[in-house]
Amino acid sequence: MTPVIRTERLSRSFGRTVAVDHVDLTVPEGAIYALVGANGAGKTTMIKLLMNIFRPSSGIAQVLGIDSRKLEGKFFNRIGYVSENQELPEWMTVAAMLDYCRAFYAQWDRALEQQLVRQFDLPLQRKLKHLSRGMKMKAAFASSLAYRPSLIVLDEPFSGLDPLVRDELIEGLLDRAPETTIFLSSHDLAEIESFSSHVGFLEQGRLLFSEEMTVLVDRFREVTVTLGGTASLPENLPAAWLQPQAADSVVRFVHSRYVEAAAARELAGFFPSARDIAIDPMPLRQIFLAIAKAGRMRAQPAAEPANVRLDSKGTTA
Amino acid sequence: MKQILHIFVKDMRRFWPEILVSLAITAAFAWFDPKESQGARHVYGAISYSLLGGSQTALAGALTVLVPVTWWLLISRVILAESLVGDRQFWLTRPYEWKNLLAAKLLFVAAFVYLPIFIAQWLLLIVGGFNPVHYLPGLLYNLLLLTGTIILPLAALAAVTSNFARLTLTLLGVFAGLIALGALAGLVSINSSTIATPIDMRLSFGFLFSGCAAAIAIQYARRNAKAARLVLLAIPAVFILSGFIAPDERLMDRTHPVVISQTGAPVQLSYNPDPHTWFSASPVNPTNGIAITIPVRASVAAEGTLLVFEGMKVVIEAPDGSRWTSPWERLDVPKQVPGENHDYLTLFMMPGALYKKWKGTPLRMHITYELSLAKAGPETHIAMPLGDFAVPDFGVCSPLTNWMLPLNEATGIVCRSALRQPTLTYLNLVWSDARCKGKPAAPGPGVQGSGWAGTLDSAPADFGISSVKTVYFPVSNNFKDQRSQDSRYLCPGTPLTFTRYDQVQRAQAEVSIQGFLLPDLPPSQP
Repeated sequence: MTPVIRTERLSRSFGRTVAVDHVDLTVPEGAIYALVGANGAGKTTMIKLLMNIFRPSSGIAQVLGIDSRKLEGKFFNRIGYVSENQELPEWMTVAAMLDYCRAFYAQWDRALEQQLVRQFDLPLQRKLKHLSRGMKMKAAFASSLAYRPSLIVLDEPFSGLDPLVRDELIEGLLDRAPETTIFLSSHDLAEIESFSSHVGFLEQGRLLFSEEMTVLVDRFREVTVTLGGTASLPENLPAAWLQPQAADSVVRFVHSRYVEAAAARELAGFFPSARDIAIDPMPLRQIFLAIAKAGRMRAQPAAEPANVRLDSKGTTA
Repeated sequence: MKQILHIFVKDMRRFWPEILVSLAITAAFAWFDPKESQGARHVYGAISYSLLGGSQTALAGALTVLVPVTWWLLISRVILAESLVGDRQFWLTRPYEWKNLLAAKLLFVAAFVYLPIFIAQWLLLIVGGFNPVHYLPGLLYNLLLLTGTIILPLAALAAVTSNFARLTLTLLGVFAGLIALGALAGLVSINSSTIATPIDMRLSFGFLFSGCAAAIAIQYARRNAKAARLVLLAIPAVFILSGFIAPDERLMDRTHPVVISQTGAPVQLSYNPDPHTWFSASPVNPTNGIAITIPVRASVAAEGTLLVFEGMKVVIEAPDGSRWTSPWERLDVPKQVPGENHDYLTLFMMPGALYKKWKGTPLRMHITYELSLAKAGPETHIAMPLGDFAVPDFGVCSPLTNWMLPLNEATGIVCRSALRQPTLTYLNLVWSDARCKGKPAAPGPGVQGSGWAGTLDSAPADFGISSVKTVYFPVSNNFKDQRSQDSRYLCPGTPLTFTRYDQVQRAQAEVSIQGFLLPDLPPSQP
């Protein structure tokens, strides 16, 4: 199956600042792909490269099978784009904006438009400049969903919105999910954890990993080993054990390629006198913190940029 | 087409206040501009002229400036509505075809800039007494000049800036740059505003036009602001560089192909060292240059030939082999009575340091003049009426009256011409020393007066907002006494003779002077 988005060694620099650094990314059709990372990680630049708002310094990006540099005009019939910092035609009323947008799309669905207007409770006769931030985002969503795009690209769509508006937007988005591919960026892990099918983590312009959410959650475990006496960290710990710590009689670490049977053998080998071993699943937030901290710890001694990349089995490279 | 109209209608709905203001100002301009030429004739009575006519004339002048200001407002607003610079614009990720977007903007400019001014100019021609159908090529040519000089540069600047504030600042920067360029030009030329460039004006216009058009096309097709800005910056850079590296001799040979030899030419030029002629040097501050006046005598061999000086270039060689070459200086020498020998004063500027070094040294001077030679064409004889009268190939003329005088006592002739300065024309008349007092001009001898108006340029239109030009005939001997400004008069029925002059040649003439001594500075100067 042709991926909806594919990048190869995609890079973009602004002067000496490298915003996106050799990113290889694949987003399969039907995915809800969340690109996460801290503020300034390069998420927005990445999305603007995909949308041909910026041109790559090197590498390539393909969106819906088209070179991103050729993405313009009619190709945007199949793409819906909403960004937190996008300028809207604020002098228009909501109705005027929907009227204006409608004429650009042959496949515009009036019924869906009306449904979205009702669902988002949009005040049609009010000018966009008089709307709250949440309402503006809803109007932008409605104008980007009503033509049933094949790909919806959202740049920090829920940032700064109250929980009610956020839930309404996510609900509206998920209604469209069966017929489209969604690619969104966010720095809020909690909000994307509930509905994303794929996740990629961007740090300082580099993609630390990119994989299915279920695989990611399945392979990360927090392991707590209680020993009989004072605990100390064994030598030659596996690279997949992140953030190992020993305190009193307890050793803790994050297992980044957890497979039940193999992990049991491994733990028995390293801790033969263990009194208790607790293995707990981790929320997405803790997984990212562990990965990010591990990447930074590796980078510091050698004074090299963080370059932690995990393959699908969770091994570091 | 559907998308073009869709964007056009959106822009129209958004900018209707700006459109209304622009249309109102254009309409006011079309209403008041004819008052300016009426004011020029001073046909009002004293009170009405001072209270009404004067203010209307001033208003017409102000509106001529306001019309392009409203264009700036409209063009910048409509282009910035879909700004081409930035990464947050709504339209970037919508299915806009760039060609449609550009076409929609062009349609807007056509509808609310070109069409109103075209209609206004059409109406002005009718009011001015001209049939606009005959001047359609000139009207279109004028729109082309307005496009290349105002509309395209404004559109190009709007295309490479992200918002109105930046555009305004950029525009101020451009004006400051032009002023600085003029000041720099003043360092090497007598007249900074008319420094002669070896590049033909049409070539300069074409370069400005195509540079701005290219910047706009790059922005719409590629949204590459850096490349578009470089193209725009290249325009002044090329103009400046052309002043230094252009092959001016070869260009001059192309524009003025004939070199007048000293024998058998219709006109011969020679240095006239007559001590009675004004031969001088004077300092030009703050450039530290010295303006040198060179008297030349034109001996006209062919009957009815007129000599028009256009420019000059001077090469001076010292006995030690050192050499100095001036830039091409544009010359504005008054035209003389055709067919007679005349002394002319031509002026160039040389560096002050060089003047001091070479003062008192016999020099070799070689002057190249660029000239036009014109021949007398058909004559038109008219007995001056009280009101307007048509002069073929020239325009519509009227007696010029002083507001203190009755309408039948004129002190000169003022004319209107369509779209451009009229063809160069020589006016001959006879002044009356006595007031007319309602009587027609008395036959018999009087004081001869003559004057030139018009140009040898044959372009179908001059650059301008108004389609009707006011042309004054500066007629000689118009005062009985220059000091008291005591006028002579033109009474109804005065015979007027208009002689049209047509260009026959553009030529170069060379004057060499051996043992030339630089003139002294005025005594008050160190």
